[in-house]
Amino acid sequence: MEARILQRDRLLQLVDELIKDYEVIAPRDELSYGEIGSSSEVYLAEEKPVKSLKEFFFPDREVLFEYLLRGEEVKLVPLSLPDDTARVILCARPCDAAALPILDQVFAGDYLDPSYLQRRKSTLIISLACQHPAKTCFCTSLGGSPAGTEGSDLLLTPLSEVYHVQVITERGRALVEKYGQFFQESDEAWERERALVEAELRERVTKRVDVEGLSEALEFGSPIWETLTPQCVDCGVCTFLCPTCHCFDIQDEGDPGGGARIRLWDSCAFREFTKMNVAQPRPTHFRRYRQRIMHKFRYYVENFGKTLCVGCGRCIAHCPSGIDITEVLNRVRG
Amino acid sequence: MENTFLPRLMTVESIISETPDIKTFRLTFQDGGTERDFSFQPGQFGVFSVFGQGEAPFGFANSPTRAGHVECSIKRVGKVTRAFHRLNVGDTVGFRGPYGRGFPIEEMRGKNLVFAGGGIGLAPLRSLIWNCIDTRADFGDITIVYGARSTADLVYKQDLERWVEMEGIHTVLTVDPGGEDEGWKGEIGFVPAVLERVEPSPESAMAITCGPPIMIKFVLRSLTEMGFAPAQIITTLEMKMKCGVGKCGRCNIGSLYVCKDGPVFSYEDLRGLPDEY
Repeated sequence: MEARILQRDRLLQLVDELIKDYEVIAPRDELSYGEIGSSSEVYLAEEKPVKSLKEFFFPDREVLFEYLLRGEEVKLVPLSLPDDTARVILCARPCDAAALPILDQVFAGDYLDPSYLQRRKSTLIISLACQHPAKTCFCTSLGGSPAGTEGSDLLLTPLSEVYHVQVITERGRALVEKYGQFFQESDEAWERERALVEAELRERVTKRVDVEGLSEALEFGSPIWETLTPQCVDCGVCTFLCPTCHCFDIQDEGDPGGGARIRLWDSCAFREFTKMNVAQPRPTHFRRYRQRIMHKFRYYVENFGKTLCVGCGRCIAHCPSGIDITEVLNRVRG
Repeated sequence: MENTFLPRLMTVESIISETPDIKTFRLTFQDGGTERDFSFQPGQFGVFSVFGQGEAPFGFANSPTRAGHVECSIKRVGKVTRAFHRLNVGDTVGFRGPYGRGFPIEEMRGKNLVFAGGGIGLAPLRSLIWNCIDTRADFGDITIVYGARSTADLVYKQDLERWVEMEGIHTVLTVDPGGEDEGWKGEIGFVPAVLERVEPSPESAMAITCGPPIMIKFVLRSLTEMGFAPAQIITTLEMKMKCGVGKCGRCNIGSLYVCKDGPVFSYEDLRGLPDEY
C-alpha cells in the first residue's frame, strides 16, 4: 500500500491550496456536499450529508439540448459538455465514493453518457474514513468499509495525531506529488495504526444483512412481497437519496418560442413511472417496491455483476414510514 | 462523443387518417440522410418527439425494403400523441433510433408465416409483411388474420385491400361482433377465434402477433392449442419508455429491458420472464 502522512493541522491549509487550483466540493452542511470557497466552509459532522454525491455526476435536472421554434422550423442547440475544470471532492464518505464505480456500469458501460463521463473524468475524489458510522450504516455487509477505498483516489484515515493518506490511483499519486510540501512518507508504525483504526471502525458498523446467495434467494413470484412494506407512502425519498438509484425521466420545458429537453431524476416508487394508457405493469405498491429490491439485489447483479447498493443507510435514516431495507431483505430470505 | 438524446430532425411529408383516433405519419430526414446513414429492421422502434411536448416510442410501420422515409402510426391517447395529431404537413419532428431488437427474419426464412394482428398492433406487422412480400421468394405461405373493434377502426385499408387480392397471401379480415357495417364482407368475431377457424398449420411455420394485451394473450393460447411451439411464436411488447437504450429504468421485465433486449420476444423467451408486462 502506498501511503503518506498529513499532519492534522495541515489539512485545512491543504484545502485552501486546492481551492486555488480546483473547484472544491466538500460536505457544506447537514444537507449536502457543495462547492466551498474556503477551508472554513468544510462541515465535518458525525452524520453523513443527507444527500449523496450522485448529483455532481448525474444532476437531478440536466439540459440535454435546447431547441428554438420558428414556425415549421426547429433549430437544435446541442448540449455543451460540462466544463472540464478539474474538480476535487474532499472528505467524501467512502460509501458515496463506492457508489460511483457502480453508476459507471450504467452511464459509462455499453452506453456512454457524454456529460457523466466528462464529470467523472475531471473529478478527483479524496475520501475521509467515517469515524462515527451511524446505526443505519451497513456498508461492511456489501463489501465496503468505513475506511473503504473503492471509487476514491485518496483516502484519509484519522489516526491519533495525523491523517494517514492512502494513495489509491495514479491521479491520487499525482496530487500528493503536486502538493508534496504537505505530505511526509508513512512508516510501518503508521501503517500498523491505520490497520487497527480501520478494524475498530468496522466494528462500529453494527447493522448487517447477509448478501451471500441473496440474488438467487429473491423470487419474483414469492407471496412475501405483498406483506413487506404496507406502511410505505410511495414518496420516493429512498430513491432520491440513494447514491446508486439512477432512474430518470426526459421532458420538454419551454414556451412557444423554444425550450429545452431535460433529464430529471425519477423514481420506481411512483405510480406514473410505468403507467401507459393501455396498461400498467406495476399498479400496486408491492409491485413497485419489489422492483426496487429486485433491481438492486438481483437484476443489477445479473446484468453487471454488482449489487446496486453500498449500504449507506440513507433510505433507512430518512424513510418517513420507518422502513429498514436490511429488515426487508432478511424477511424476504425467510 | 455522440449525444444519444440529441434527435435528428424530420419533416412530416404526409399524414393519413387511418381511423378516428389513429394517424400515420410519413417522415423524411431534413439532413437528407436515409439509405446512406440510416437503416432499420422490422420490429425495431424509434423515439419520436414534438418539440415542447415531449418524446414517445413508436414502432416503424413501413418496410425497410421501401426506405427513403420512415412511417409511424400513432393512436391519440396522451399528451405527446395528441401533439402528433395536431401536426400539419411540413412540420418538424424529432427522431432518434432505431432501437431494440427486430423480428428474427433469418429464423423465418423458408417458413410459412402466420400474422395475427389487432387494432394498431398491425403497425409493426405491416413493416414485416411488406418486407416479406418484397422478398417473397424467401418465405413460404403467408397468412394474415387482422381484426379491429369495428370497420372504422381497421388501419391501412389500402394495404388490406391489396393483401386480400394478392396471390399467395391468405388474408382474413374481421371485426368484433357489432362492429360490422353494411357491405362488410369479412369475418365477424375476435381475432383468436377467427384464427382458430382459419387453422394455419404449425408445420414449418412461425406465427407473429401484435395487438392489445388481451388479444395477444388469447392468440398465444389459440396458437398453442393449434400445435405451435413457444419458440415458433413471436410477439412484440409495449412498455412505458423514455430513453430507449436500457438506462431510464421503466421498461424492464426481470433483468431484460424491453427497449434494448426487445421489443420483439418469442413466447419461449417470455415464459422465462416474470409476469410483469
